Amino acid sequence: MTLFLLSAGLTIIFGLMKIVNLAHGSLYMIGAYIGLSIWTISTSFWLALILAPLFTALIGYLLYQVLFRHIQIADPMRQVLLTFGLIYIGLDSVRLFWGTMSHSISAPNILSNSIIVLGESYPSYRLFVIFIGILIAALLYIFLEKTKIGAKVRASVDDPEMAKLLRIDTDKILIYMFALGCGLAGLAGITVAPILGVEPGMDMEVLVLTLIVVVVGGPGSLKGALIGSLLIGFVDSYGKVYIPEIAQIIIYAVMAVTLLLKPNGLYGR
Amino acid sequence: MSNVLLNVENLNTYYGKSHILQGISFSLSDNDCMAILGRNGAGKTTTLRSLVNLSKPDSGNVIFMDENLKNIKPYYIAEKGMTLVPENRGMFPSLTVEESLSIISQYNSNNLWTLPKIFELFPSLKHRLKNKSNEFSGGEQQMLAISRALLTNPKLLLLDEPTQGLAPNIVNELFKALSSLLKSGLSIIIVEQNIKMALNLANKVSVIGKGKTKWTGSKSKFQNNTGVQKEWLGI
Ligand SMILES: Nc1ncnc2c1ncn2[C@@H]1O[C@H](COP(=O)(O)OP(=O)(O)O)[C@@H](O)[C@H]1O
Ligand SMILES: [Mg+2]
Repeated sequence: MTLFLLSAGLTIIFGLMKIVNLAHGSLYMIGAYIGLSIWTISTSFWLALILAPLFTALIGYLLYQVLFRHIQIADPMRQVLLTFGLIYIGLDSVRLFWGTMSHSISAPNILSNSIIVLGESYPSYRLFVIFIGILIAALLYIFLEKTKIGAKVRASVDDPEMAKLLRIDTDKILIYMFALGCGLAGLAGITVAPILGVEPGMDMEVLVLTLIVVVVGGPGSLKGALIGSLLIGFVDSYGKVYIPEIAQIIIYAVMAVTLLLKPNGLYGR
Repeated sequence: MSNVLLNVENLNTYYGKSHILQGISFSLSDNDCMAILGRNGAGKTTTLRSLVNLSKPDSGNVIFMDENLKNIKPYYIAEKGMTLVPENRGMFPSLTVEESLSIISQYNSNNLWTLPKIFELFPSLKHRLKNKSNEFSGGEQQMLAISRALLTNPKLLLLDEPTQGLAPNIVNELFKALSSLLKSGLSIIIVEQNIKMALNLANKVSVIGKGKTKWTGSKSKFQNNTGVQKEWLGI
């Protein structure tokens, strides 16, 4: 489900800007670290859960204003170099501010037990993470499909030039959607922190998986991000449990097969 | 003399390194309808795109309602009152007709164009509000495209080959709608291959050949100038 939060953010940004933000994983990591600090200072996980995504969105907003607004029309090679460079900047900033040690955050008390579902025992925090994923998916769906601003966003994705001709301020839409995508990455970071911990390098682990999800689901498609993250998440977890030797390869195999059958991804246009 | 609405001075526009527009000039007064004519590839579409800064001119001026549009974003130009209905009609495949019409912000209450007035002009749209526009026929798409443009409440509407690919009876319907728009005080620049229809609407003609303005004048002068017609349009 964290995969969904990450790939949803990445796919929204790609759909609008045609930019593959390789630093998306870094925002996830930074979201987790910001959450860590808020949790340490306030001792409230809930406060961290709310504020970390907001701060990550703010960082996204600033990144856009300073950097991304200029590379919109630039060629793919420059996008890769810039966003790849950001990965190093993100990693070094984290090391500078928080050190190289790994940290852990504990889930709030009410979510620290386990719950029996269909005869199997699940840690309730994991169920909470699934709930967050579903909640965000539903909210994104309502926002994009049922509101007027959502319709403006879709119009800007469909045909940005035409949207401008109809007095839609596509630049403003880009900034806020970019910030939203980054905020979702931050939300993924803080929600996953009690399970996986917080450490430098967590950015690269998820980046590859997220990119695969977006490619499999169809870049720019939110539905694709949802289905893709379920598929890849499922293959990843079960692969690691039952056939750990080739789990990594299987994910790439799933991607290859999908792309052979549907070159634009499951829900790509 | 009526007011000058648009003044275009010596526009030069490049696509990458190719010098497409090499000197486009004309002017338009309130409530004029200008037909821009020229062969395929002459630069008509690029001219319209340059007026609204979708393709940025490298030199020359576009003065619209006494304001130089140099470095002004298309979004503000549309707000100021000039918008384009592009050749490809710019449909939004993921939006319903209703959504396509609703996303155009209506700030003030003294807007000339409202949904009821749009449905008066194009009654068939009213029954297709829940449809997605990419399932539409060419004629319906064109009507939707013009309706959207009207909802921005333009002073000057730019139309790029609106009758392209439409059946004769639809062309006729479109012609009537455009005539009524002109009567209501709108100004129009229309690029057309259907010269007969364009001349029925227009009071001015500008001829473009190889990226340059070759001739500009009133419709009657154009109709009497067989030399220009032959050299630049092949008729
Ligand atoms: N995106 C583009 N990139 C490069 N050249 C273009 C592009 N669009 C049009 N052209 C060229 O510019 C010239 C003028 O095109 P256009 O303005 O579309 O002509 P018209 O609308 O009169 O048929 C043509 O020679 C065309 O090949
Ligand atoms: Mg053209």
